[in-house]
Formats: sequence, structure tokens, C-alpha cells
Amino acid sequence: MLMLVTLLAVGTALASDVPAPAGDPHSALSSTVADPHAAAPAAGMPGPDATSSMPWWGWPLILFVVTFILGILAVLGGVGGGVLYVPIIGGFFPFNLDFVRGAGLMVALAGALAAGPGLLKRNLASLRLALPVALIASSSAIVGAMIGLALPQNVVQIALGGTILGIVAIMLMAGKSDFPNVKADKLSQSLGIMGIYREESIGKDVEWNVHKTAPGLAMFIIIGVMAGMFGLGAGWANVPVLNLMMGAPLKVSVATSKFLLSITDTSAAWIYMNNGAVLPMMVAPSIIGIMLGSIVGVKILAKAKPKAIKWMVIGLLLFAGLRALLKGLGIWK
Amino acid sequence: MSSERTRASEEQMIYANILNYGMMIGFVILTITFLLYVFGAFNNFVPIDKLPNYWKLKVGDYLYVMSQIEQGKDLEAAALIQKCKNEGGKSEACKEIYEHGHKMAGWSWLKNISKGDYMNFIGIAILAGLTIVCYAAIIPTLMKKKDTAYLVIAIAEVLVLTLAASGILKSGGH
Repeated sequence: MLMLVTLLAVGTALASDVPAPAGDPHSALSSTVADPHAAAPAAGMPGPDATSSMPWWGWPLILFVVTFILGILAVLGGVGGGVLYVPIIGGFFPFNLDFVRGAGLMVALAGALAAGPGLLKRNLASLRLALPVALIASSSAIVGAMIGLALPQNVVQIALGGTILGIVAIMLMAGKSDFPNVKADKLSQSLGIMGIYREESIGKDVEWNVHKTAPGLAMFIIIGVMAGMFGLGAGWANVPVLNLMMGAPLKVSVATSKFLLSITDTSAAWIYMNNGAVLPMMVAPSIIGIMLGSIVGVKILAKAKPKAIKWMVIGLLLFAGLRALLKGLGIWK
Repeated sequence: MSSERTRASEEQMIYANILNYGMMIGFVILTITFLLYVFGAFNNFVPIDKLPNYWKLKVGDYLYVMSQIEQGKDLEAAALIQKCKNEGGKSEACKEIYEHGHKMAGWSWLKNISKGDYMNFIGIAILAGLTIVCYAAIIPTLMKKKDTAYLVIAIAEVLVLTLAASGILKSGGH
């Protein structure tokens, strides 16, 4: 954690405006046209300048190290990589927020793709629960991605900051229910949304149903739009809706949510990719870093104190959310 | 060990197996192409040491600069982008930026696939396209089971994801 904060502080300092090296005509392009559509300098987030003296591989290397640490923290804190990635990389790195959100979606997608097979095979993630939800969330994510790419950056930064602070509130306040006892409603019965999974912690097979299916599905319109707009992934919202609102067991909700991201983020990722907002120089080190970090995180998990880690993640999100909000408002450039 | 009661359905296992192999193929290809990219095994479309000048740009401007790199006019691009900024979003300069940039969007990366930087899109496209393949693969099983509701959902999802992947849906830019 300390290492991450140090890296971000060093990064922010390095990324601050540095005179362009003489004799490099390309740097003039960057310094002249950076963020040309900004309504006003205060709202346009002039931010870090790419004309710093750092070599081309400097930022991708720092990105790799930071995403590696984020991968560890994400596992220990029980959050997806995307929700940490976008506000932190968007707030402290020189990359444009368009590319950060594109990479954030690819990071969340990669994590979900990697986890999906195991969760499905163990029947913890339910295809019957995920399919109707995914259709709504992925369609909405397309709309969200198109809105996000069309909006001015300061507006996206402000909305992102507000959303991240809202996520912090959800993390602080939302409860959880390991085995909700709900009666299946008509819609879930007609769709056959039910299942049985082996709960190793109590050595029993657990049967589950869901209720409030229609309002639950409607919630995924909002979740999908937000996932696409901010490139966040949406585990932070999926789990409370599946668990607390629809009544799926916690483990099924967490696993189905993770699998669900592979579908929701696919649709949004294609929109970002087809609009040019996916930079390989960001995506590859981010995916590799977060995957390696997740592997290390799983190993540390057994020894870590989950409550302390959760507070660290909340603190990090709070800091990154405030940074995005203030950056969007032009207060903290 | 999963008992008969807790075993995943046939279509769930088909989905999981395709996802497993496809994901591994995608990761391996992405890692290999990225290493080839950073170690300069192939010529790049954007000179790698110039990349920091472009990753700060908004995506619309970035695409425009890419279109000008293709024509060897990338340094002149700055003037037009500045003009667009000064004249407001609906000026002729902005229209030109949008029109030229648009040509670099969508699947246009395929025409530069021999370049080291664009080669990375192979792995990215595999990872992003995998879910469509998984859905398509479970359709026959759902048909066999006469699971009409989920068959319709699966077909609709394939259509939604294919639409997203097609490149038809473009953002209006900034």
C-alpha cells in the first residue's frame, strides 16, 4: 500500500508540466493540442504533460507495477480490478481518460474471463441467472460507452468521482446475506432461475431461488450504463442487487457477478475498441500486471487480515474518487 | 466432488470449456505480440518513442493524428486541432478532424496488422470476441433441450454483442 502511494506521488510529480525537450517536433503536438476541446482551462484538465523527460517505457513500466499492486489489493479487498484501475490510473497518469476507460474495461474483462471457467464448472456462477441479466446489462453498457465517449472529459471526471464516492458509500453501508431465504416469483419460475451448489463451509448442498426478478433486472439497466460509461466493471453493484435484492446466496451472487462482467464488459469494450480508445501500450501491461497481482493476492489472502485490507481499499477509493471529482471541477489539476 | 444434484448443466460446461481455452489463447497471443512490440521485432505504425506525445490526446484527436501519420502529415495535425479548439466544436476544422479520424476507427486496424503496435489487437480482439463464440456454442444445446426462453436470450445476446463488435455503432466524439 505504501509502495503504491509512493509510486502515485512520484508519478504525479513526474507527470507535472516539464518543458518540452528542444528539437522534438512531436512534443509540440502534444503540448499544443493536448485536450483541445476543453471548454476552459480550468475544466479541461490540462494535467500531466507527456513531454516529460521520462523515456517512452517509463509510464508503461510504472503502469505495470501499479496494476500488479492493484491486482493484489483487488483480491484482498474483494473488489474487481476495474473499479480501482480507472480512478487511480485516470487520476495520476498522463493517459487520456478515454484510453484509461478502454483499458479499465479490458482489465475487468480479462479478470472475468480468467475466473469464469472455474466458477461455471463448480456451478457457483449460474448461467441461468446470468443470461437474462447479461442481456440487459450488456445492451445498456453499449449505450453507456457511447455516452461516455461523447461527453466532455470534465463531465465524465466529475461523474466518475461521484460514482466512486457512491461506491465507497455502498461498501460501507451494504449488508450481505449468506443464504437468503426467498420464495421464487413467477418470472424466475418461468425462466427456471434456480440452482443447487455445494457449500463446502457447512458441508451441505444449498438450494436457491430468486425473487423480485423484474425490478432486479431493471436495476441492471443502470448498472450496465455506468459500467460502459466509466469502464469500471460493475461487481460493486452486481453483488448487492443479486444478493440483497433478488435473494441469491452470497457465493452465487459473487461468482455470477464476476462471470457477468465478462459479458457486460465485452459489449462496452468493443465500443471503446471500435472508437479507437484501446491503446495496446496501456492494455497489455495492465492486464499482465493485474493478472500476476491477482495470483500473488490469492496466495497472500490466507494470511492477510481482510478487515484491514478492506479499509485500505475504501481509503484508496475515497482518495481516487475525490481526486477525479476535484480534477473534473478543475480544483486539483 | 460435485454430486449429480450440484453438477453444472450441459450448456454451462460447454460455455466454461470454450471460455477456458479461448481465454488462454487470447492471453498468450497478447503477451507474445506485446513483447514483440516493445522489443521492436516489427516496424510500428506509431514510432514507439513518440507514443507519449499521443496518449494524452482525446481519442477523436488521436485518431485524427493517426490518419495524418498514415499520410506523413502528423506534424500539421496540431494546427488543425488547435483551430478546432479555437473555433468551437462545429467548425469545418472539427468536421475534418472527425471525418479523417473516423477512417482509423472500427476494424481499420486490420489493414495495419503487419505493424508491431497493431498486431496487439489480435489478442485483444480474441479476448473481446470470446463471449460471442461461447454464446453461439450453447445455442444448439438450448435448441436440443427446447429451452425456448433461453434460446431467444442467447440469440439476442449474440446479436447485441455482434452489433457492438461490428463497428457500426460510433460515438459522436466530443
